[in-house]
Amino acid sequence: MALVIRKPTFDILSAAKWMIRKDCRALSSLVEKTEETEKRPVGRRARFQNPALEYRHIFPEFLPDPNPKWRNSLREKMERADMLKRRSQIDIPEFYVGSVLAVTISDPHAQGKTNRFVGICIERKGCGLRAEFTLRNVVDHQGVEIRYDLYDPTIQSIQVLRLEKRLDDKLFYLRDALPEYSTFPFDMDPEILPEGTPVPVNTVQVKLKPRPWLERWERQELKGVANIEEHLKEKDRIRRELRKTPWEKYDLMKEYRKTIPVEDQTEIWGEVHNQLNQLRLSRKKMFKKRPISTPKPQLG
Amino acid sequence: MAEGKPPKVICVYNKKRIGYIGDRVLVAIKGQKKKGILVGLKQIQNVKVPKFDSNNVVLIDDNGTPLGTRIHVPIPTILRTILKERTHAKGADYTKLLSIATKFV
Amino acid sequence: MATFNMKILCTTLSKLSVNRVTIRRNAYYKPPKYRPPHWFMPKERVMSEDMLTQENRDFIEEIKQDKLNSQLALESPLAHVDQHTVQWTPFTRRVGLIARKIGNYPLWSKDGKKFQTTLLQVVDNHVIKYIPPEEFNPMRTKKICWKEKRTLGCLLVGSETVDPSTVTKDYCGIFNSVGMLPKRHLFRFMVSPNSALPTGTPLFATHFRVGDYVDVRAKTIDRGFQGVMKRWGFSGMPASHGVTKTHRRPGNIGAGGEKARVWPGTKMPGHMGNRWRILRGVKILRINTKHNILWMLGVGIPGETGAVCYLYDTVLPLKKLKIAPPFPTHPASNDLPLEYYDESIHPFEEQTIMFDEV
Repeated sequence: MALVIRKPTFDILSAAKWMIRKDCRALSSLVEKTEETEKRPVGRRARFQNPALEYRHIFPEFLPDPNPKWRNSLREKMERADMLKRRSQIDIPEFYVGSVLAVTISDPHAQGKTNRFVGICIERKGCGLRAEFTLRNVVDHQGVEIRYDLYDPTIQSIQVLRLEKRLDDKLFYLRDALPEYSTFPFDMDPEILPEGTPVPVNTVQVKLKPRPWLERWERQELKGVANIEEHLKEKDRIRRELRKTPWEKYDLMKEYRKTIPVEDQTEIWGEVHNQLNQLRLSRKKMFKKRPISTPKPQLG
Repeated sequence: MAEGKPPKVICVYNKKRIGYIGDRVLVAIKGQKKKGILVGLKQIQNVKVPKFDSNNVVLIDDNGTPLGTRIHVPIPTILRTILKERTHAKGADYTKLLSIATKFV
Repeated sequence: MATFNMKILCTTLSKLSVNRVTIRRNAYYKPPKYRPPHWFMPKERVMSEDMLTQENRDFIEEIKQDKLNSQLALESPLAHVDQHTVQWTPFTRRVGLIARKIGNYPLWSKDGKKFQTTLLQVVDNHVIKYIPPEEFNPMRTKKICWKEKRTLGCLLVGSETVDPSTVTKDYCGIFNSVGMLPKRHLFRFMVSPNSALPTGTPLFATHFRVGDYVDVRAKTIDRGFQGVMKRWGFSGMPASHGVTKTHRRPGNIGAGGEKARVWPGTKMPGHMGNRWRILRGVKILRINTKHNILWMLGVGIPGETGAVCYLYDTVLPLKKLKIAPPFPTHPASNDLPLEYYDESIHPFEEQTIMFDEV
């Protein structure tokens, strides 16, 4: 929808251009979900045909911050080159918010100088070399969260134990949910998806603990929470209605400011496509060669 | 911790008066005042330092010897370095706390 | 009687005339004697439609291209002159660079620490002119006249070649007199006479070395008219507890009695930013020789992305240069390594950092 402003010259009536416009619309995050449902039966390999459609979900950190005050083409280019250099050293896999990861870092404070942590990714943020993600787990009945820089050179390996998505973009509500929803054993076996399947969406709905909560979850229109209504009072429902902003989905300018234009995206993906593809192929080779063994948990 | 009032940190022994990881604190517990060490915090931490769902304290005496015999919560590995720096040759030895920890994250 | 009245009227009216502007001048305030240096010329030109035919336009375009090509073909004057016999001493002052701030991103050190860095790009820097100390007659803005300043010459450096038709004739004249094309930015560096450079010498990022400390002079971000909370960091007043209409105001600005006036220098609301500020002692962590980019430690360099800043060797006594730098500047050469890293910085293409067990 945001593309209507950007590309006013498109003739909507002509059928051929309608197709192009539909393609471009997929790049703005507004209509993403409908496109996603259409594509799922086609399979994962077919989606590789347009790299921009695929890569902006797999490597979101390659897109720069859309704030025009901070943009500079040369700096972005240098940043991408550095990211690719780091990616040639360590295999940074495809993962999403909701995937279960195991991260091994070199830690000068730990006894064996390495530290391994397993947890569910509850947040991914930042662009370029600043990209970071947060893992959450419950260890000894105590919720633990660790934030990692994605391009930190002390990270030895990032392993995806379970590749899946959740219904929400951020899973901060797991902090207020029952502990079994964020408990993952450290000796968990990696679940390998067959080649060509789309990334599954886990539709589990978590149960929240009774109030007090850390945030007002009822106002955030969360899909992954089951029992939010039973903890609410009449006062909260009235407040929620007052705080709703249903007009924001029609705010095209807001949407435009949050996204990178299609022309820029095609340029960026054209620049990094070859190297990313090579890295993907080499990873596949390594994956086939690798002997099947489970990593041992390191306790202290 | 199950019975009575929950323990409360009533003083932080540093210049800023805001408790950070590894700081010595004064705890009000069961009607008494005890010294303790902050071993896990709810506040936003640096990269690679764990953030916990509750604020955790290990009670110590003036020499740095922990009052209990076991720690049930995971301990951040960075505490190993912090406590070693805080320990002086003649003062309190805080590193005894690390030896009774069951798990590091 | 009538004539006398007329005279009084005339004198009063003449005093009221607009031409006589009274200049404020007293014991506390003296307006500066504004005499800009001779190389400081108005640059901006009013663009107007010239009503030229297409042929003439093409002809002008052709001439521009020719000039630009001849400029690009110029060789560095240092290429043929063998290296200066004068050696660098800790008391010599070298020329600096004009750079553009292009953003920030982190670098990691070899012990796993993250450093935020600022990227500065050195674009198309050329030496324009050298004015020896005898001829250099700067504008006097203070009574104190430092004698040793007379020992320093003035070196003009320009950056970013622009279309000559977009700037004024006077500004073009500065460059034409030395046979260069006009530059967008022109800056003056005070240098020792033995580090003077001939006109047309290109300057690169390799003028500085990795690990050196430099001073950066730039204009801070223009924030407009701001209140005391943003401008001076006052804490304001409470949001409630009976406070009305004074939540972000400064409060009291002085005592009564003898001091019943606003003291000079009181922190008050006003224009914030858009001032020249110098950040001293910034370390260089990494240099790219292809794009001429410098990675500077920290994010304190004034100005927003795209701001122009001036770099020169630091004057801080503890961070001054100790080993001889490229003197008078680093010559242009094609066989340099692509990147220089400080010894504490971990290059991204190297192996993952591992800590050895003690």
